[in-house]
Amino acid sequence: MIALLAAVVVMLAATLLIGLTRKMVNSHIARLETAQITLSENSATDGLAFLLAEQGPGVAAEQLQFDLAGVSTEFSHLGTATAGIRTGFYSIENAVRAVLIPAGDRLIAAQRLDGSTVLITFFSGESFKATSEFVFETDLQPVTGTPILYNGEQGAVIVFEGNDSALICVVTSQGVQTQVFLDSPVISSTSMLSAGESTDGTPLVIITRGANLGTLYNCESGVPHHISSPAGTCPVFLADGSIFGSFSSGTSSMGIAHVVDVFDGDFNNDGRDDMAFATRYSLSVFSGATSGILSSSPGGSLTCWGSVGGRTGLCGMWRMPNGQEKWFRLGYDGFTEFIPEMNYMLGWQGRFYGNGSTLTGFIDGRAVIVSSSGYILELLSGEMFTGNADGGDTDFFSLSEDGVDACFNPVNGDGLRLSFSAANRYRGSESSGETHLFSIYESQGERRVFHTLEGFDQ
Amino acid sequence: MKKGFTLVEVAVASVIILIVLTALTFALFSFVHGGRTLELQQGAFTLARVEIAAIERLEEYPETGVTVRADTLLGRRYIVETTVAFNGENAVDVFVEVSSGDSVSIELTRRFYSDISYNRNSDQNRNANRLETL
Repeated sequence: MIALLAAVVVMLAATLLIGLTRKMVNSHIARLETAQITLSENSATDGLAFLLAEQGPGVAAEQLQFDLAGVSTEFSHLGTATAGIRTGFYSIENAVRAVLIPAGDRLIAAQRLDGSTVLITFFSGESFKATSEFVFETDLQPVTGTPILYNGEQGAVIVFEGNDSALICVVTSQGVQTQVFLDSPVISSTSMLSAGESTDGTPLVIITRGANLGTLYNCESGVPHHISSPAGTCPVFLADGSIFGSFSSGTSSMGIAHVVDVFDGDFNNDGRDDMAFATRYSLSVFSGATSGILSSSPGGSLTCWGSVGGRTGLCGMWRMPNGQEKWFRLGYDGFTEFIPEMNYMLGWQGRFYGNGSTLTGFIDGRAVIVSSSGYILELLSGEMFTGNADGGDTDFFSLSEDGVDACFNPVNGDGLRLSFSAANRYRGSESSGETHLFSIYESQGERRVFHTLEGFDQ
Repeated sequence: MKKGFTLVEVAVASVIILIVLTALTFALFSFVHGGRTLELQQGAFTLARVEIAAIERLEEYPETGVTVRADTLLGRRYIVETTVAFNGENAVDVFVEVSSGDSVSIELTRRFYSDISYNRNSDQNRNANRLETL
């Protein structure tokens, strides 16, 4: 009897052990299946984002099913709404003291950590998170920078300076690629930088003092070449990678107005990129097709300028000594005076950006967007700068102590927000997935899609 | 006279205890062996997820082909085999298989989409337009 009782107890213990083992195995298998289901749903989400970018929001009406690793993910369209203008925030300590460079699809920050080190951080234009960072040892201060495409990757040329020396660095997310010391400072408050590369891939940077004389530096050897360009322009790398300007010491730039803005675009609609130069008095265009320069300086001060696709094209407003405002726009053979729509005459300052009848830029020190109906929306205020950090059109940035607020491609206006629920089928059983939100922005025939999950910030 | 167990009782009890102890030994062995295998599986699973997460963080697709490397986790050795293959024109499939010995193997799969051909052409155009002098 005792033996039987003991046997029952021991058998119970054995059964418990086997049951526990089985439970652990089942739990592990369930985790494995859940992981693969999650990966398959994430893959399907990428696939749906790709379809939306390629074919537009119309795909929402189709049957959307993606199969991977035995998991079948099906999306159901829940609804469509307005996405609003895309905004974001880069968390950067002491951002006001950092050199910030929007570089194509990312934001690059260079900031001093202590007396001998500088932190270089790369932030994603989509997630706003730091994707890579490294420390660079130098006792010089980062003062300015410009984006560069180096070996196929978006990086930056950063200039560091001390009292009697300078350092030009090319950085990518992989680290410092090249650096060269110069025996005197090269940057002034009016300096403009432009970067490119030679045929053998050597990074080059043109540094001007705003006027028509500049210096081209080889970022590996430091060898300088003097470059000059016509009055009202400045030496710069063109969109095709060639240099605008000629290799000569040129004449004195004394008395020549400083260039305050340089930007490229196909301003005369000939299919070739042109380059525009704005000074305090003139607006000039270098034609990429003819290499000719068209210029407008009707007297007075150039107050605002910009290129508005689908409307006026390249245009500017001059305030005459008598207070009168005159608008000129680029035509086939030069600039001609015109009377713009009301939303042009709101007191724009500096360059504005336009798409159809929507304008964006700066008014009274604030970044604003003006709709075709005249509705003005403030985007950002404070200390601001512009650039491209997400691969689209021009973005606006505002500095604060703890980071940088960003407003992306506002000229393209609001986007569409499509929401989908996901369901996953695996080995005959179905489980519900996440609710996915896709924001779609369109401009100039290009669609940009951003994905987030319901309940999460973009 | 002292009362005791008969020979038959002792024999039956012995057989029962023998059977039970055998079952217990088998259960214990299964538990220990299963536990070890499970730990190996969980390690392999962790490594597979880490590998996929690392690929997800890449800015560009990894090169197509197979890469094999050895890795250790909690003192145990694993083989991580990553296979990257095109799936049509606009997608790549990444298969990560992590194994340890013959009995443990975990596989996870992830697919990435992009206009791959467009990106390639962009690079070629850019290279063709580079500065001709200097």
